[in-house]
Amino acid sequence: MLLTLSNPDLTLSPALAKEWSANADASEWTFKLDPAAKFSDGSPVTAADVVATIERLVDPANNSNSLSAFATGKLSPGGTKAADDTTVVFTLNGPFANFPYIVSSDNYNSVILPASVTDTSNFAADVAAGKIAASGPWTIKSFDATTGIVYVPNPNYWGKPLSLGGLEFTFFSDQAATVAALQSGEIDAIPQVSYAGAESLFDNPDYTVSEIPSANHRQIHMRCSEGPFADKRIRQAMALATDRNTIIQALFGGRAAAAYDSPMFAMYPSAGNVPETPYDVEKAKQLVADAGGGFDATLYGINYYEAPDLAVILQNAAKEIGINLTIELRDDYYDKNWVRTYDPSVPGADIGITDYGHRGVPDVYLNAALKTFKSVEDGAGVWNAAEFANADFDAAVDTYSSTPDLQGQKTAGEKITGILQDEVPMLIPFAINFISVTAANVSGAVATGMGHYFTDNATIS
Amino acid sequence: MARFVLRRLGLALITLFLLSVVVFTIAAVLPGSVGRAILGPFADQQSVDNLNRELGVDGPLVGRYVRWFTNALHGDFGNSYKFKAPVMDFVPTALWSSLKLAAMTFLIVVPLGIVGGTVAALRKGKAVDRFITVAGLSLAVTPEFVIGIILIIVFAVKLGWLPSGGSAKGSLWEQVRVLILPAVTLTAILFGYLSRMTRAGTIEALSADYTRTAILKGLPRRTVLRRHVLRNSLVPTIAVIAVQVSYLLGGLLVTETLFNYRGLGLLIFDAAGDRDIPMLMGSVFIVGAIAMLLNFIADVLIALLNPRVRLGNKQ
Repeated sequence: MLLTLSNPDLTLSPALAKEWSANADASEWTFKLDPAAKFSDGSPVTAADVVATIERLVDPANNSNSLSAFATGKLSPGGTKAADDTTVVFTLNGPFANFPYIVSSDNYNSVILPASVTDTSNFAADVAAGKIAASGPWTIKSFDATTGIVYVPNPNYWGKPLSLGGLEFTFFSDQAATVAALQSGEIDAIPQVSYAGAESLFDNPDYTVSEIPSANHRQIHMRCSEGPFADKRIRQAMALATDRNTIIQALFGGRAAAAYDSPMFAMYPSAGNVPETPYDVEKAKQLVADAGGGFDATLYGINYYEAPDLAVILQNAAKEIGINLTIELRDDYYDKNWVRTYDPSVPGADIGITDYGHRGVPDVYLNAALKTFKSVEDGAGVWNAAEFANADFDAAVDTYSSTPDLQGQKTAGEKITGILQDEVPMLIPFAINFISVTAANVSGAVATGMGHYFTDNATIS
Repeated sequence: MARFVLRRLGLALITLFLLSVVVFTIAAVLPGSVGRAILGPFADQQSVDNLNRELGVDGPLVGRYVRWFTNALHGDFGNSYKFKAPVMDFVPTALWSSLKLAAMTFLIVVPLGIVGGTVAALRKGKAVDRFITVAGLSLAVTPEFVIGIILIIVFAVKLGWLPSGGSAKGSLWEQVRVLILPAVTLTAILFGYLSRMTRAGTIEALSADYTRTAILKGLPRRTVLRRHVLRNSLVPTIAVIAVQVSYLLGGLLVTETLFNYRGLGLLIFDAAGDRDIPMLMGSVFIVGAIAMLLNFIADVLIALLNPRVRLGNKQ
């Protein structure tokens, strides 16, 4: 279990932490643990367990995937302390208003484990073997890395009793097989499906389709520091030549929300007003002409999801305004054509398609993908493939991150979007809805945009 | 015969060695770094480099191959990058699953193919022959996923008689139920090849001098068919079966994926996608070794059935 849970509607729910509060400038956060919380071996979940878990994750020596999230959240080693058995205090390097999301299910690595746990490399197998105690509603009965996992109720669960007597997750390598298994009644739910290939489940009374907005998106970065996209008129032209609604229909059957080149998606309460970028090819052509005319460039990108189709759509859009893009989708995109900031031997790309998963708050996108890069240790700009460096933007993000009230965040959010829509370091044409499906007799299972699947209230009739 | 066996065995070992070199080289030059595949796209480059160094995948290719080959000779195929456990913890289970599927398929397709091919040959040019030939060819050129999906829709989704996939676990009946649809899919693909080979072999044997002699000396038709025709017509069929066993063990990618059947095909597919090179190498090497062994057995069987094969060089 985690300290807090990030809900599908982007609010936070208490989990191990019953309540939390910040000091006046949001640079120190105090979390009160639920005194009833227990691990599956019956021992209480204490502040010492939280401190040990978080300190393990923020230690760069452990190479946790959550380092960028904690860097965004301004938490460093030594910043987590136990005030008493049930009180944890996080002292940040500076103000950060969305810190509770950094220790929520959004940052899935931050699941709280007993303080004695130092090695999580075989987590599921160790839980199944009773070597690691869990604190959530379920514990693992058996785990096979290739076929699936069986959960049984945690006998010492401290929350609301479960309705189901057990859960079995089957691993699939192919969506068609997953859909067939649901249709033939072998499985009861698919926590996440792509629209393409699962059409038969939609508008079908035998299934309940749950569709929620998520921040899962693609960024098409355009290098601002050099090369043909360095002129911002070219980047603005690309934005105007992108027909977002057509893209959403073509790629997702309409199951995505139009986005306008800012990760301050309209779904975020703190986004404020997000102006729409019009589809205006004539204006785009004029901007290209003003910038000296068209040119040839190579569009790099990931070679999965809908990226191949997106690349062709972008190629056609660019061609209309005189920019000839050659498509190169590569398996080694992330090694060669993404971020070159801290490794000069990496060529990077003038323009490239990168996939980003959902986050309950936009801070990681703003901090890691768009802020000016300083150093790997600092964490800012480490995913900044566009090599965007804008002091006003950095200041706006700092203001946003440190503003505790929603209205203040909205004001900062609108400024961020304004700068991004003017500078256009990246195109963000859409945010993809998160879709999960259950058989009609299943209720109470809840999926989140992150891909978590809450089953503690699930029932089968 | 001993010399024939030794020569074939030597060839099989050389082929296996070459296979390991080719697979290792291809796996090593695939685009994308192993560290990146494990740590994910958003891990920083320093962590990726550190992991590559830790896994020993940043050194010279020849050195890495020699190390892998030496360990493999001792039965150590290394640890899976993805599962962080020895490759040999996974390959035998997957191999066993694929063997079950292959066995089920052969139980259906071998008698069906031999009977179909023989009947077609005996009724050459007639409606039955044309039906068997056209049906076999049509099924052979239809992609597995088309046949598989049709079977799933009819027998799993609409009728609900059989599961749409899964692993062969539980009681024998449960395992057979899981295996039926993938095995029938594979039967549909293989029936055409097998029946055609049997048909061609039977037609050739029927027109051979020894068959004519056997008929002329008054042997009953059944004896002629069993002792002279089938014995000779099965020679190419056995070779085809041996090759198809290798296909069934390692090439079941589409069928195993479609039916979510955790055999070697799916293991290899996932290992390639995850750039899990030890797993990829270990599974492909095992499939290769089995293919060599089966081809070797087929060669020996053919030599036993047909003396011209084993004495070929002497003549």
